[in-house]
Amino acid sequence: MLTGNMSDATVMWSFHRSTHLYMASGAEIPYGTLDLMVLKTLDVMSPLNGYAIARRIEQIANGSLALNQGTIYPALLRLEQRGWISSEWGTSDNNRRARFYEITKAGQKQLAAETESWERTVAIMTRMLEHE
Amino acid sequence: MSRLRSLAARLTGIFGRERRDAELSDEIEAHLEQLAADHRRRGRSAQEARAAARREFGGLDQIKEQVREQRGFRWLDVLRQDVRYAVRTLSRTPAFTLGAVSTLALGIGATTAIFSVANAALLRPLPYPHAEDIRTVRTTFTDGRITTGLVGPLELSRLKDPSLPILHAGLSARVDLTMLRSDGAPVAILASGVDDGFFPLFGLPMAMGTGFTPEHFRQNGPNGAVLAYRFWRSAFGGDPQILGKTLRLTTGSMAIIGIAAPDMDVPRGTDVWFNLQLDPQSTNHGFDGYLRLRPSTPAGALSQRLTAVAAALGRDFPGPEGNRAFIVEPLVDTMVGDLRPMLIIVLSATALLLMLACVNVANLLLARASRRAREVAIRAAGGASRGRIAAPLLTASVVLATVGTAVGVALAYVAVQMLLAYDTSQLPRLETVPFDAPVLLFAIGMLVVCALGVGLVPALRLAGVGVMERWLRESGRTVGGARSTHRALRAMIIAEIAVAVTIVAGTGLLVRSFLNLQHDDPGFDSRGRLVFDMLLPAGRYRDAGLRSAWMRTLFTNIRGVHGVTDVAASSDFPMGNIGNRLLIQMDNWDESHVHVVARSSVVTPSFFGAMGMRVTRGRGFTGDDRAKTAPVAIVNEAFVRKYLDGRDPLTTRFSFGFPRIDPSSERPIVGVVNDVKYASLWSSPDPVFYLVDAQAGNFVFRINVVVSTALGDPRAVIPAVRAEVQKMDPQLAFTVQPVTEVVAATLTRQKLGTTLMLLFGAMALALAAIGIYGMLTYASAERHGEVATRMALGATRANIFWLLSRQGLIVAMAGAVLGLGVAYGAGRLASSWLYEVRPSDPFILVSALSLVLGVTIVATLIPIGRAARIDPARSLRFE
Repeated sequence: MLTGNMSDATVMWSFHRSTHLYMASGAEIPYGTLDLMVLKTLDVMSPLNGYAIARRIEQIANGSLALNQGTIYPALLRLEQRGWISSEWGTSDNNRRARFYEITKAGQKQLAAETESWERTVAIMTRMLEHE
Repeated sequence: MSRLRSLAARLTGIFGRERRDAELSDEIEAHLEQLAADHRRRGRSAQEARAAARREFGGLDQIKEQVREQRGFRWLDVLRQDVRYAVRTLSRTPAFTLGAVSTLALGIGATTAIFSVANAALLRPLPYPHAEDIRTVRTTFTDGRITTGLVGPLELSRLKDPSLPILHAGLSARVDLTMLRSDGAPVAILASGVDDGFFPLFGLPMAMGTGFTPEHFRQNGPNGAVLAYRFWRSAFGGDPQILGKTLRLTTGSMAIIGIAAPDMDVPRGTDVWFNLQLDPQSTNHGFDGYLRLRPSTPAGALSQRLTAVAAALGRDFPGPEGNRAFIVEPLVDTMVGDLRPMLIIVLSATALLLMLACVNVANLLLARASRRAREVAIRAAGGASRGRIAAPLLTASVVLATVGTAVGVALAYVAVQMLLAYDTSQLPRLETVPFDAPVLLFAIGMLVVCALGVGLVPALRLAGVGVMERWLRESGRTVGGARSTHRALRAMIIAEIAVAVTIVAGTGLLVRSFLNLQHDDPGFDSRGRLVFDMLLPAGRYRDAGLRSAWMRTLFTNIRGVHGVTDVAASSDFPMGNIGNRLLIQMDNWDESHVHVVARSSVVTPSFFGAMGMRVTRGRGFTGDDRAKTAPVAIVNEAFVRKYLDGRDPLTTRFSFGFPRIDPSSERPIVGVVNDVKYASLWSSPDPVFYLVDAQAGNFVFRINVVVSTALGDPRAVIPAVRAEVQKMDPQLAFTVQPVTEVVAATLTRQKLGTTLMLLFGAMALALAAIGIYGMLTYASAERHGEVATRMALGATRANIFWLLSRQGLIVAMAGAVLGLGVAYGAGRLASSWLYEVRPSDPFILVSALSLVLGVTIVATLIPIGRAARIDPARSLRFE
C-alpha cells in the first residue's frame, strides 16, 4: 500500500519527473537527490566543469549509481536558475573551452537546509520501515 | 527569493534560445571529449572511445530537450497536471462537485446580478461628457414655508454670473402635448421646454441638424423642436429627410430643427425639446434647474458662493426671493432617488449569502480532504513540500470557483433579464442593465475571493506540519482534528442558520406586508372601474362654459354605453398625478397657524359615487352646486381629525390659496367623505378638501375620467368608451386602463423587493442546509473509528445516531435562537418598509423558525444516517 501511494504521489507531484536516478540495482532514487549531490560536490570542490562533477559523483557512489552523465545538465541549469550555483566559461584540462560551476552563498544555505531535511526524512522512514 | 529568481531566469530563458543552444552544444562536446580522452588513455581506439563516451553520457537529444524545458516554463506543465488532476478527482465525486458548484454559482450569480443592477443605476457614468460636474439645482425656503423646489429664470440668470464656479446653467419645464400623426391620429408626447443654457450644459452634439441657435431664445424668435433620437426612430421611422419638416400638434406646430444625440435623456423620457423664450427677470418658479460646474470645484466653495447669490437675490427681490436657499445635488442622485439605499441593502444581503456559500464549500472540501489525510501524510514524508500538498486543494477550489463563476454569471444574466421583464425597467436608469467591463471585473473579483475563501482554510489546515507528524506517529488512527477548526466551523454554521432564520423571517414579513398592501382598502373601489386621463387643449376649450358643456355631453354619451353605471371626472387621481397642495385657514384660526397645507382636488358632482367612496357626514356634491350658487367644500376624515380639533365640520368655514391665503375663497364644509390614499398605498391619508368643478373657477385642463361598470372585467367597454370620446374630438390622445392596474403599478418596487427576498430566503435556507450537512459529514468522517469501536463494543444504531446528531441539533438550536433575535431586531429597523405587520408577528417568526429547523434536521439526518450504517468489522480492519 505504501509504495503504491508513493509512486502515485511521485507521478502527480514530481517537479522533475524526467530526471529520474536509478541505483545500479535498478531501484529508483527519490527525485531531487541529484541536485543535492551536485550541490554537495561543488561545496567540497569548486569550480568544476560538468565532466568533473559527474566523475566526482560516480567516484563517491563507487559503482552503486547508474548515472547518465548528461542528466546533470538539466540539474545544473535548475540550480543556476535558483541562484544556488554560478557559472563561468574557462579552459578545461585538455585545453577546450568549458563552463565551470561554483556554489554560491545561497547554495550553501540551501545545502545545509536540504541536508538536515534529508536526514530527518531518512530517520522517519527508517523508523517506520523497521517498525513494520 | 530563489523562486522569484528562478522565475526571472526562466522569463529571460525565453529569449536568446539559439545562442544558449549553441553554448550547450559546446559544453556537451567538451564533456564528451574529456570522456573519450579517458577511454583513449585506457587504450581504446579513437572510435571506440568516442562511442563509449556517448554511452556514458546518455541520450544527447534527450538531455538537450530536458535542458530546454528547464529554461522555459515547466510550471505551466505542472499547473496543467494539477488542473487535470483536480478535474479528474472532482468528476469522480459528482454529487460533491455539483453541490459545491451550484452553491458557488448561486452565491456568485445573485451577487453579480445585484451588482449589475447597482452598476447600471449608481455606478455607470451618465452618458454626458464629464457628467461628474453636472448638478441639479432646486430652491427651498429657509423659514419653513413650502415650495415645489423648482427654480425660476431670475435665479438662473444670477447663476450664470461668470465669477461663479459654474460653466453653464440651464432649465427645463415638462409639458404634456398631443402630436398629430400624418394620418391625423393623436399621440400623447412628453415635451420639455428648455432655455439657451440647456443643451450646451449637457455637451452632447446633435445627431442631426443644428439644434437651437441664440435666435430661438430671443423674444418673438422662431419656434423649433429637437426630437429625441428614440422618438425620431419610433414615431418617424428614422426619416433621414426629417429636418425642416413640421411637427404638428393639436396646439400648433413647430419646425423640426434637430435630432438629439441617442444618449440625450433629460428630463427622463422626453420625446421633444422646444425652445422657451423667457424673461430673465421672471420669478416664476416652474422649472427644473441644472448646473455644470467648473472641473473639480470643491463642494464647500460652491455652497458658499450659492449662499451669497441667494442672499443677494433676497435683498433685491424680498417678496418672491426672500429667505430662499439653493440645494445642489449630483444629477445621478436626483435621477435614482430612493433606489440607492434599497440597492445597497440588497447588495449587502447578497454579499452575506455569498460569504455563506464560500463557508459551505470550504466545509465540504475540508470534509473531503480529511478522508485523504493518510495519503497526504505519506506524501509529506516522501518529501513533497507543503506548497505541493496544498496545491491540488487550491487547484480544486480554483476549478470549482471558475466553473461556479461561469455558471453564476450566466444565471445572473438570465435573472437580470427576468427582472427587467418584470416591470423593473420602469425604474430610473434601469431601462437596460449592461453586462459591461465593471460587471465582468466584479465577477472575476468574486472568483478570486471565492477560490481563496474556499480553498485556503482547508489547504492550510491540511498542509500544517503538526497534522502530518502527529498522523505518522499515531499511524493514522485519528486525526484528532484541531479543536479550533471545529469551533470556528461550528460558529460559522450557527451564523449561517441565524442568517437563514433572519432572511426567512424577513421574507415572511415582507410577503405579509405586500399581501396587506394588495388587500388594503385604499378608500375607493378599484374593481369594475376604468380610468383615463385626457388633456383638453387649452386653445379650443379655454371657455369654461364650453368646456363643461362638452364634458356633460361626453359623460351622457358614455353613460349610454351598455354596462356603464356612472362617469365622473377629477383633477387628481389616487396613485396617479399628485394634486395641488394649498395653504388653508379655518375661520377661527389666528396667525399662529401659518403654513398649514391640505391637498385640494376638483371633482364633478358624481365623483364620490363613481369611485365607490362614502359620504360619512353631511352631503355630497350635486348638480345644484353651480357657479352662481354659494361655494361649498367637502373634506375628508383626515382633514377633520387633523385640523378641526373636535369642532363640528358642518358648522366650519375655511379659506385657502397659494402662495398666500385668498380671503375670497372662504366657504362652508357641507360634507365629509372617507379617506382615500392619494400618494401611495402605504402612506397614511393626507387631509384633502374637494371642490366641485363648476365652482372651481380655473379648472385644470388635465382631467381624470372614471367610468364605473357593473362588469367583472371592465375592459369589455374600453372600445365603446374610446369611440364615444373620439366622436367628440378625434384629436384627443388618451389611454384607458382598469383602475386595478393603476393600483398594482404602484406596487412595482414592493413586488420587486418581495420577489428578491423570496429568492434570497430560499437560497439562505439551502445554504444553511448544505452547511450543516457538510459539517456533520466532516465530523462523522473524523469519528469513523470511534463509531466503529463503539459499535464493536455493543452500541446500538440508535445510540450512535444520538451521539452523532446531538452536535448538529445543538448547533441548529443555537443558530435558530440567535436568528430569532436578529430577525426581530432587523424587523424593527426595517419597520418603515413594512405595512401593518409587527416585526414580532408570532405566526411569521414561528413559521420561519420551524421551516429552518425542519430543513436543518433533514440535512442532519442524511449524513448521520449514513455514519450509523457502517459495518464496524470492515471499518476497523481498514483502520
